[in-house]
Amino acid sequence: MVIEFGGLRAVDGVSLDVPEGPFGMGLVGESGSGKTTIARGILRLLPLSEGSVMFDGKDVSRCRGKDLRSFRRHVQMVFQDPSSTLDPRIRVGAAIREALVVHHMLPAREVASRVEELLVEVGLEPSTGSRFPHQLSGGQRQRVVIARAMAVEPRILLLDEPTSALDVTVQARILQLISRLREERRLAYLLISHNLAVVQQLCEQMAVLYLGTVVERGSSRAILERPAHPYTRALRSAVPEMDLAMRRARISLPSIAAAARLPEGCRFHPRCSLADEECRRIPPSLREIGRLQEVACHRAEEVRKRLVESVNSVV
Amino acid sequence: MILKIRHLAIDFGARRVVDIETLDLRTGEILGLAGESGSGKTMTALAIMGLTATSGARVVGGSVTLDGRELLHLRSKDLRRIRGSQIAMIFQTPVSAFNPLFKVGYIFTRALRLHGASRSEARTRARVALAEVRLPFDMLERYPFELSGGQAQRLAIALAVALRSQVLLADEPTSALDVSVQGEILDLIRRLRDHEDMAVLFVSHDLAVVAELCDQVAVMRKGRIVEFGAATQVLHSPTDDYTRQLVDSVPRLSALREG
Repeated sequence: MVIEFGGLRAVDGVSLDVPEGPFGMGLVGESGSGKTTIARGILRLLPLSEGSVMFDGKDVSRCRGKDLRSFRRHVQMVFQDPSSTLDPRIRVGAAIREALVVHHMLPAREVASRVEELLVEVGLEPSTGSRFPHQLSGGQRQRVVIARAMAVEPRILLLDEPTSALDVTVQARILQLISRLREERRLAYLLISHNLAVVQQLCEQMAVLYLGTVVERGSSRAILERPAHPYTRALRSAVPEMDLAMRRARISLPSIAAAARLPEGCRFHPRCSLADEECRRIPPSLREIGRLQEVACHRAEEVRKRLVESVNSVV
Repeated sequence: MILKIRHLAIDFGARRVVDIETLDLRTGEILGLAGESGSGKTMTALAIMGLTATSGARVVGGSVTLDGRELLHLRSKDLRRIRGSQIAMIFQTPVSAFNPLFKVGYIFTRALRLHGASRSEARTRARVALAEVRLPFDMLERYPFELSGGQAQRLAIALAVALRSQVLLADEPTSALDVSVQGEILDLIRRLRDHEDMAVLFVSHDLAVVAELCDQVAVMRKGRIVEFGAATQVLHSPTDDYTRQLVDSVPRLSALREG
């Protein structure tokens, strides 16, 4: 997938596979790395410059009209800020009802009871349906948004920082809700998050993005235990830890000026302490490292070796 | 004890939103004020700055003293003298702390001049402060919209340093930043504590950040402090049920061997 803004490639040749649910794929990276742009590209909310999106073996990247609507029914998006996706003047029950009606999900006389079922399914009182968004808390609003997405029986959810705007206790309950729905509805989802712990909890696979390219992907557990890309390693080391035993020295990255032009060679090389001539010239492509992981880095073996050394020095 | 809060009560309409018996901030110490949204932590910080009225809330009782001097109910002329030069505040969205019409350098010299520095002194102090937060001098030539979130937060902190504030109130200063940038800002705040002997009140909902950064922590719920103590103590073996619930809700990477 390639998505351009002006002349800049915000997403540059990203390939991802999401299998049938229940399954979670995490997408991490700093702001501007292209996480949200990818989700928007999948839903065709942004035009693709190159590449394609395949759904169930069919190319949906050029489809229109009825086909596009049906594709979007199967792939639902949940945004970070629930209040901006709910119309403030429409009662939340009516918002869910609208989704059911637009996609002709069931006969008109069954709609009202289905709305109530959906509210209960996401842990809300059936009476919540008669409330307006502003009468609900942030967590309740996010539950409504999830109920509305679930109403059309999607097969994939695109979750864009679904808990980042919520309090930590509320976040914990929304994460529980997502993992319950995933099992009950056999859902697959793409979870965009800057929180590595959330990704570890909810996603068996993850992809790390840096300036629009995937620099590492594979099993979440493998990547978080033994990152092979220097960027992943720095990201991992910057996560604040509650537990003293888990803390380690943060690897600080030199900051870069907002780049109007992308660096030649490996995009990460201006910030990488291991970069050599090869890194400055040749962009690395994804290759296997270990059974469960792929990395786009010429010096990945060395990254891992240093990791082992730093662990030994701590012990 | 540089900052003392006693029996602070703040009402929002008929509702009591802050009700703090006692809270003290020492020089060279980072005190975390943790809690969920609506717990009253930001309101407490705003009260110290004399900014509650802007949010529609009202301080109805108690006292806040800085070096023995009462801050509540000061006249705005006296408040202006204290704001910035003795107590500085930084916010979650750092770019909005700067007037978009002016270059950063102008904003710095103007603030310093208002607090009595000469023109050349203002220039020197701005440069020294920039060095302290590790930003290049050419930042002074930029407009606020040309800054990244991390740069803007550093500059907001640099302004506090340039004005020689003794107390820094930081309201979720890293919540809008990327995790690697967050780490840099936390390092910077630690350095201010150690090198400048600054007293920092760090308001945050993120317990992991509080655990890493703060010396002491006060956990707030519904306007009251439900638990107070050394950060390691409170966050690793909480005695209060609510604190425990908060701590247990934090997603962790801890199940992993190494990273």
